[in-house]
Amino acid sequence: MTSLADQGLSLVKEILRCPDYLQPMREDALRNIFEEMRALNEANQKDVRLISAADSERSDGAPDVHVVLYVRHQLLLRLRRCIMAYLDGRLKVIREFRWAFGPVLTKDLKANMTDGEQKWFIDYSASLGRYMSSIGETGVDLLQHSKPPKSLYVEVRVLEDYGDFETEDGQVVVLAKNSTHFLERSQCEKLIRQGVLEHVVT
Amino acid sequence: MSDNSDNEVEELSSAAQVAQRFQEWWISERNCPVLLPYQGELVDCLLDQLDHMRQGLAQLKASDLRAGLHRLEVERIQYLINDYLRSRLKKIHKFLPQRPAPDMNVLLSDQERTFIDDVVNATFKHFHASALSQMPTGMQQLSLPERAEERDHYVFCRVKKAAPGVMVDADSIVDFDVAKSSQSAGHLLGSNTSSQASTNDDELRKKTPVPVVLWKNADVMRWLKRCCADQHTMYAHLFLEHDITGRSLVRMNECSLEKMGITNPDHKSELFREILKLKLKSDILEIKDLERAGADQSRPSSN
Amino acid sequence: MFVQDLKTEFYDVLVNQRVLVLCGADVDALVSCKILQYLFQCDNILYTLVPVTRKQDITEALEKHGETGRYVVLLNCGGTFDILEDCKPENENLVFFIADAHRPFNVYNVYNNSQVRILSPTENENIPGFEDVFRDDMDSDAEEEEEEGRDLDEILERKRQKRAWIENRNRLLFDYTQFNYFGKATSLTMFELCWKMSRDSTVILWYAIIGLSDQLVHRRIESDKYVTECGLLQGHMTRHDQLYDQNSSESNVNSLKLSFDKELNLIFLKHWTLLESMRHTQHFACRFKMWTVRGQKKIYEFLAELGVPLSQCKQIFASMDITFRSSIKEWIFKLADKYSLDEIGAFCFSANLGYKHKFNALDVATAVNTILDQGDFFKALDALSWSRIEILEKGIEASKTKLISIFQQVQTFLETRQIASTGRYLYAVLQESTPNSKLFGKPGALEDLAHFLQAAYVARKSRDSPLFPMVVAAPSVTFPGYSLVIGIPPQAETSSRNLFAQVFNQAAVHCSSAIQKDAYLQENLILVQSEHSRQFFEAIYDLLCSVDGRD
Repeated sequence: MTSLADQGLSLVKEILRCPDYLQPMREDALRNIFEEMRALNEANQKDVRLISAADSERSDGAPDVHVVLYVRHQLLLRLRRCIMAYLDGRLKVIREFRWAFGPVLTKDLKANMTDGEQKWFIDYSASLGRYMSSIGETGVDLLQHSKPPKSLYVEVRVLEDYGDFETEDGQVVVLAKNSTHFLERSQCEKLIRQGVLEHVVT
Repeated sequence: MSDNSDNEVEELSSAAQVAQRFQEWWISERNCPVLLPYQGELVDCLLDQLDHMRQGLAQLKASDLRAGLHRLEVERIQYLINDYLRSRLKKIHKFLPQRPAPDMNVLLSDQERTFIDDVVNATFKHFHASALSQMPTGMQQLSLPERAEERDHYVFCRVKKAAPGVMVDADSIVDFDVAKSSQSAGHLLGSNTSSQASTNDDELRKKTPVPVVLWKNADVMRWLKRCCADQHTMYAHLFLEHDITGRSLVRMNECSLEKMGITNPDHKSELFREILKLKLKSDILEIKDLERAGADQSRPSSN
Repeated sequence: MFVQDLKTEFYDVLVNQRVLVLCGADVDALVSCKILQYLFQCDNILYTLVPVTRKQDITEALEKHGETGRYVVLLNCGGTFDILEDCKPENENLVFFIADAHRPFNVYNVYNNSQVRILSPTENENIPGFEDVFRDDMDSDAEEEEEEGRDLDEILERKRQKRAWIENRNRLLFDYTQFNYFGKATSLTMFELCWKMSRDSTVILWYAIIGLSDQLVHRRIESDKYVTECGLLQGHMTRHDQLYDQNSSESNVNSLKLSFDKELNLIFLKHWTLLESMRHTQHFACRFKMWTVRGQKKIYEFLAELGVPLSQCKQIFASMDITFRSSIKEWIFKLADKYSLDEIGAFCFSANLGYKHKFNALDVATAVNTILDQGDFFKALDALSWSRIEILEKGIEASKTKLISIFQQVQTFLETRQIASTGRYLYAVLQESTPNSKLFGKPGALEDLAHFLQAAYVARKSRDSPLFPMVVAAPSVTFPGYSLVIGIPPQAETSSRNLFAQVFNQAAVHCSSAIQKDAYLQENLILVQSEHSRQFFEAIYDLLCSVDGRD
C-alpha cells in the first residue's frame, strides 16, 4: 500500500520539477494507480458489506475494520488528489504554450501531449480567443504589446532566412539572414517572439 | 461605493483624464495581489479613443511630426490596456480551475466570467475523460471548492489625498497625509484595507480632525450630509431644530432618535449604525491619544 | 556625378524613403555605418543593412533587396568599378549613393548623371575630362565606312583623329588607374554631414576618430595629412567640451570624454605589458631587431637606461607602479633621439567612459579590425557600442594573439631566410604546413604580416630594399586550394599608392585559368590556385620589369 502513495507523490514531484517543459504523460503510472484504486475500492466495499452484515447480527462491528476502511478511503482520496494535481500541472504547462506561441500547435509542442490535452488546448484557445474578441468593438490581441514601447521603430537583425515580409504600408522587405533592418516595432513583435528576428540593443 | 465610481466616470470628460485615471488603475491592478473591480467603462472609453486616433492618423501624412508622436501614444495606450487585461487574467488563472467565490463575481467583467465558465467546463471535461472516468465510481464526482482570495498580503500604497483616521486593522488607525515634499509617502498596509481604500473615495478632512464631542451643529450637519445622504434630505430639519451637537450625538440611542421624530425603523437603524461607527472612531482616537500621552509620561521615568 | 551639398542632395532625398545600405568590410565603413544608422534612427528612415565583402555580395544584395526601395547607399565599396555594369541592378530607377575612400573613382561612376551620385570629396585626383574619355561616335566605326560620296581624305582624317583620340584615352585611363590609393575617410564625410545638421555628439565624433585612426593603422593616409585631420577633429572636440560644461554644473561620470595627446605609439600598451607591447609594435621591434638575441639584449639595455626594472616591464601596464606608469612616456621620449625611435610618438585621441574604460583610438581600430577579419560583421558593429565593452575587450585579446603569431612568423621567416628578393620585388610564401597558417589566410592578418615582414627585412638589410614592393602569399582559409596573395607598396613610399591592383589584373590575364577574380573588394588582394602561384609570381616579375622600364 505504501508504494501507491509513493507513486502518486512521484507524479506530483515530476510535475513540480520541470514547470516549463512537458514530459510525456505517464500512462503506466496512471494505469497502476487506477488499478490500485479499484482494488482498494473493492476491498472497502467488501469490508462494508461485512460490517453491515455483521451489524445486522450484533451491535458492535470490529473497530479496527472501521479504521482500515477509513485509511483506505483516505488513500483513495489522496491518490485522486495526486492524479488531479498531476493533470492540472500539465494543463498549466500547456496553457503557457498558448500564451507563448499562439493558437497553432506545432509538431514539437504536440509531441508529448495526449489527445485529451490537445482537445483541451483547442478549447482553451477558443475561449481565450472569444474573450479577446469580445473586449471593445474589434477585440484586443493580448499576445501583442508585451513590453512597454520605448520607440516606434526598432533595429532588428535577421537570424534565419524568412523570405518576404510585407509591412503595413505595402512595402515588401526581404528578410535574408545576416542583414539588419529598421522596422516598425508592432510589426516585428510577432517575428521577434518566433525567433526569426533579434532585437538589437545598443 | 459603486455609486461613487459611476460618478467618477461621468465627471471625467477629457481624454487625458480618462487615460490618467486608467493608468492609475493599471498601476493598482499590477501591484495588488488580488483582483480589483473591473474598470469596464474606462477600457471601452479608451478603446474608442484609440480607434479615433488611428483613424485620424490614417489621414495624416507619414512625414508629419505629429504622426510619429501620436503613433507612439497609441502604442503606449494599447500597451496599458493589454497589460491591464493580462494582469487580471493572470490573477484569474491562479485559481483556475476553481471557480471564484461569489463575492468576487462583482469584481469580474462579463467577458471574464464567460471565459472562466468556458475554461472550467473544458477542464472538467478533460479531467473526467482522462482520469475520473477510470476511477472507482465513488470517486468520480469531483467538486472543487470555490476559491476565496487570501487577504493577508502586505502592499505599498501611495497617498493621493489626505485621509486622517482611517481604520486599517481592528486595532490601528493610520493617518494618511499627502507628503510634505513633492514625493509621495508610501504606507504599508494589509491588502484588505487597501482594496477598500482604492475603491473608496478617500474620506477627507483637510483640517486637523476635531473630536466629535466638540462638534457644533454645523459639523454634525456636514457629517450627516456626507455619510447618510438620504437621511439628510429627509431629517436634516429635525437635526437643525433640535440643535444636535456632537455632544448630544454621541449620547444618542434609538429611543432618542424616535423622540426626535424619526419613526421609520429602517432609517432609524441605519442612522443609529452610522452614529455608532462615528462613536467607535472617536473612541479609538481618544484611546490612541491617551496611550501616546501615557507613553510620553512614562518615558522620563524609564530612563 | 559628384554631390556638392550632402544635406540637400543626399540626406533630404532619403527622408521618408526606404534605403538599402551596403557596408564594406573595413573599420572605416563600419563606423560610417554607425553614424548613418544613428541619423536614420533619429528621423525614422527605414533601412536595411547588408554587409558585403566582394562584388558578388553587392550583386546578390541588389537582387534580393533591390525592390524594396529606390535608394542604395554604398559605404567603402563600389567606387572603383563601374557599379551599373558589374552589378547589373534590374531596377533602373535605383539611385546609388557611393561614399568610398578607395581611389581612383571609376570614370563611368563619375560621369553617370542619373543613377550614380558620389558623396566623397575629391582632391587633386586628375580625373580625366569628360571629352577625353567619352565621345558620341565611339562605337560607330561601321557607320562611317558605309558613308559614301564623301571625300576620301575627310574619312581618313576622321579615322586618324579617332585613333589618336582612342590612344589618348587609353593612356589617360592607364595613368589614372595605375595606382590605387585612398582618399578622405568616409567616416569624416559622414561626421561632417552630422555636424552640418547639428546632430553631432561626442559619440559620433568618437566614431569619426576611429575611422581616421583605422586609416592611419593601415597606412592609408600620410602622417601629415593625418595630423591635419586630427587638428580639425580636435576643434570639434573642444567645442563639445565647452558645450558640455555649459550644460551641466555637476560632471557626469558616465558620459564619454575625449582627449587628444601625443602618446606612445606602442600597440595595446594599456592592455598589455610594456615588454610585450614593445615587442609587437612593428616599428619598435624592427628598430631593435627584437627577434634576435642581440636585439633582446639591446632592449634590456634600453629598459635599464630608462630606469624601469624588468619585473615592472613584465607586468600588465595597469598594475605597474604608479611612478613608472606616469613618467614612462616622458622618459621614452627623452631617449627617443638617442635610439633613433622616430615613430615612437604619435598624436592620437583617447576616450574615457567612467572610471574603468579608457581606450586609445588606434587600439580600438586594431581590435575592431581583428573582429571584422574573423568574419563577424555584426559582432564588430556591436563592439563599437559602449554598452558592449566586453566584445571590444575580446577583440583586443584576439588581436594580441594575432600579433604574437605575426611576430613568431616573422622570426621564423627571417631565420630560415624565406623572404626572397627577385631584384624587383620581395616575396614570401607561407606554406600550408606551417602552424598558424590558418590565421594568415584572412586579408587583414595577411596585410599586417606583410607589413611587418617588409619592415623587418628592410631593417636587416638597408640599401635598396626599401624601394621594393612586397608580395606575400598564404593558403586561403575561405577558398581551399587557393592562395591568398597580397601586394604592398615599398616602405619608402609614404603615400598609400599601390600599383598591385593593376599588376595583379594583368598577371591574371597571363594565367587566367588559375585566378579567382573579385574575391575581395580590396584591390591589392587576389586568389591564385596554389599550384600555379609560381607562374603568377613570374608574371608579376615580368610586369614589374616592364613598368620600371617604362619609368
